[in-house]
Amino acid sequence: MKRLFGLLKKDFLVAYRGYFFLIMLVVALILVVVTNWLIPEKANLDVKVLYAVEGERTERMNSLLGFLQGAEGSQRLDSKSAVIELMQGDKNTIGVIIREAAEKPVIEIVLQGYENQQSRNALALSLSAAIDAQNIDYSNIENVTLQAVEQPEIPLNKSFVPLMILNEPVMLGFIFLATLIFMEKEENTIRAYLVSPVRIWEYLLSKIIIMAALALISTILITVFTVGIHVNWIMLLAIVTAGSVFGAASAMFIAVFFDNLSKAMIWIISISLIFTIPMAAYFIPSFSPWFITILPTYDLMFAIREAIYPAGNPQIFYQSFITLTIINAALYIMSIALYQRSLLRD
Amino acid sequence: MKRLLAIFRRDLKSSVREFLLLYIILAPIVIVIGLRFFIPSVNAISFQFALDKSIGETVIAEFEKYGRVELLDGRKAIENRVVKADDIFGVIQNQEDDYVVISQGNEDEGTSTIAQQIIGNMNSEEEALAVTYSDIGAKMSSITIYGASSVILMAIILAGMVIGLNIIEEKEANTMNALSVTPMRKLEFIVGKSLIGLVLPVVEALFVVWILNLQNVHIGMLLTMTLASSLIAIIFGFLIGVFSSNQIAGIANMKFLLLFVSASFIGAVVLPAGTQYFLYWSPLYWSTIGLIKVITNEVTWLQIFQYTLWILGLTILIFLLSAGKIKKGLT
Repeated sequence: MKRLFGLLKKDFLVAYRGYFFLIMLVVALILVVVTNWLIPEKANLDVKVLYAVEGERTERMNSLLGFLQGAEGSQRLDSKSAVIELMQGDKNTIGVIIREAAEKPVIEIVLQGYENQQSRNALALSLSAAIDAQNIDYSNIENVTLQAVEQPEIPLNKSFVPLMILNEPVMLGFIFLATLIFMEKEENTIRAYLVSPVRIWEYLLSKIIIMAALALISTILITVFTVGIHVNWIMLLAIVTAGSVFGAASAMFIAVFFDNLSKAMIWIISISLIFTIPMAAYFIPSFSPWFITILPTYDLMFAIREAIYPAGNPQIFYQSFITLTIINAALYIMSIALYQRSLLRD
Repeated sequence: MKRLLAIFRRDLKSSVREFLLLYIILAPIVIVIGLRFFIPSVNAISFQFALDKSIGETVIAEFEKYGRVELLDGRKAIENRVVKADDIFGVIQNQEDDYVVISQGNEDEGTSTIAQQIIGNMNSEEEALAVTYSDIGAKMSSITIYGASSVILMAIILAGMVIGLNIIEEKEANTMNALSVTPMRKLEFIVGKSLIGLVLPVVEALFVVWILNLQNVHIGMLLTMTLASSLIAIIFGFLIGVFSSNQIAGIANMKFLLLFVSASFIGAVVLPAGTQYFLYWSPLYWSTIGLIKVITNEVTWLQIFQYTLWILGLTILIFLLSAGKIKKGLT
C-alpha cells in the first residue's frame, strides 16, 4: 500500500507538471462556456415540413392543415416550386403538397431523394392518421408504459452535457494515460521498476487512479456549472469512474504493443474515434445497428444520461456498470501479463 | 529549392520509418471506407418494433412496411427488449386478441404513436388519403455530406499534427541546433516542413471523394478549399511543435486543437444560421462551410473566393500573432 501511495504521488506530480490538471480545467471551462452561452436552449433539429395547397382549399383539408400548422418548424408556402426551392437549400426538410381530387384530399410528399421506403410509408401514415383521426379504430389497442417518469423538457444546450462528459472526462484518460506510459518507456523508467520492489500491478493501478481522479473532477465541474447539483451523483460518479477506467485500461493495453508515441498515435486517435461513434445514436435513439451497440461506450453514454436526467431506466446504468467492470478487470489483468512479458523480453 | 525538397524528403523518410506517415495516410482512408459501409445503415434509419412471434404473418408484414421488426418469444422478452437504451415499440396480442403496445415512456413525442397508427390503419377499411411521392433528386444524405467533409477536415488537421510531431522530434534529437549552423535559411526550413501539410490533405481529399463516389464534386473547388484550409493546419502544426517541449506536451496541445476543430465543425453543422456569427473568428468554420458546399455541389467560384478570403485573412492574422513565437521556438 505504501508503494502504491508513493507511485500515486509520483504520477500526480508528473500529471501536474505535464499540465494535465490545467488542461482538464481549461477544457471543462470551455465546455461550460459553450453549453451555457453558445449552444441555444431551443433549436429544432427535427425534419421540418414545408407545405403548400394547390387549387381551392376545402373543408376536408382542414384537419390535415391543422396538423401541419401545429407541427414544430413547419412552414406554409405559396406553391410547389417555392417548397422545392427551400428544400434545395435545407436538407433537413420535406415537402407536402395538398390538392383535392374526386372529393378526397390528395397529397404529394416531396422528399429529398435518399429516404427509404419505410420512412416514406411512416410519413404517409402519420398524415393519414392526422386527417382521419375520428375514423381510425383504436378500440382494440391497450397501451402499456413500462417506466413512465414525468421528465421536464431538457433544453438543447443542456442535452449535450452527457455527450461532453463521455467525450472529455471519460475519454481524457485514454489519451493522457498513453502519453504517460510512453514517456516512461522512452525515459526507460519503466525498466527501473524491474529492479525495484514495485510490482507491475501497482505501477499500472496508480496511473488508472490518477486518470479516474482527473475524470471525476472534470465531471463535477462540468455538471455543477451546466446542469446544477440536482443529479444522481452516486450513479454519475460511479459510471464516470467505470468509464474513465475503461479509457485508461484500453490505452494501457494498446501502449504495450508500441515503442513510442509516434507509432501508437494513429491507433490512439482511431480507437478514440471508434469509441465515440455511438454518439451518433444519442439524438436518434431508434438508430441502433449492432456495430454501435456492441461498443461499451454506447450503454455508457445512455447511463451517463440516466444519471443526469433520470428517465426511470436504472437498468441501463447497472448493465453498463457491470459490463465495464468486467471489461476493465480483463484489460487490467491482460495488461499486467503483457507488461511483465514485455519488460522481461527487453 | 534543393534544400527545401531535402527537408520534405527527410520528413517523409522519418515519418515512413516510424510508420507515422503511413498511419496518417491510412487513418482517413480507413475511416472513409468505414463510412461507406456506415452510410446505408444510417440511411435505413426507421422505426423499430419488437413483435411476439405468435402474432401472425399478416401483422408482421404490415409492421415491416414501416420499420425494422424483431421477433421475440413472449411478453417478458419483449419488455426486456423495450427497456434497452434505444427506441423500440413492443407489440403483442392478449387473450382477447386485442393488441398491447408496450413502450418505455421516454420515446420521442413525434414517434410515440406510430405502433397504434399502424394497428389503427390495419383496422380501417378505406384509405383516408391518396398519397403520391416525388423527390428533388438529392441522393446524398446528411451523413454522406457531413461524413465526407469531416474526414477531409480530419486529414488536414492530421497533416498539421505530423508537422508538429516532426518538429518535436527534431527538438528532442537536438537536430535544430545542427541545422542552425548549415546554410539553410529559416524560411526554407519552414516551407520545407510545410510541404507535407499541403501534399497529404490534397491526396486524401481526392481519395475521400473517390471512395465515396461523389461524382458531382468540382475537383478544382475541392482542392482550393483543401489547400486554403491546410495553411491554418500548418500554422497549428508549427505552434504545437514550438510550444511543446516533448511529445506529452505535444499531445496535450493537440487536445486543445481538436477541441477547437470539433467546436468549429459541430457549430457550423448544428447551430442555427442566425447564431453562427459566434464562429466567424474560426478559419476552420469557413473551411467546414466551404467543404460542405463543395461536396453538395451548391457553391459558386465567387463563394469559394469569399470563404478562401476569410480563411486566408484569419490565417494571416494568426500567423502574424504567432510568427515571433514560431521564429523564437525554431531557434
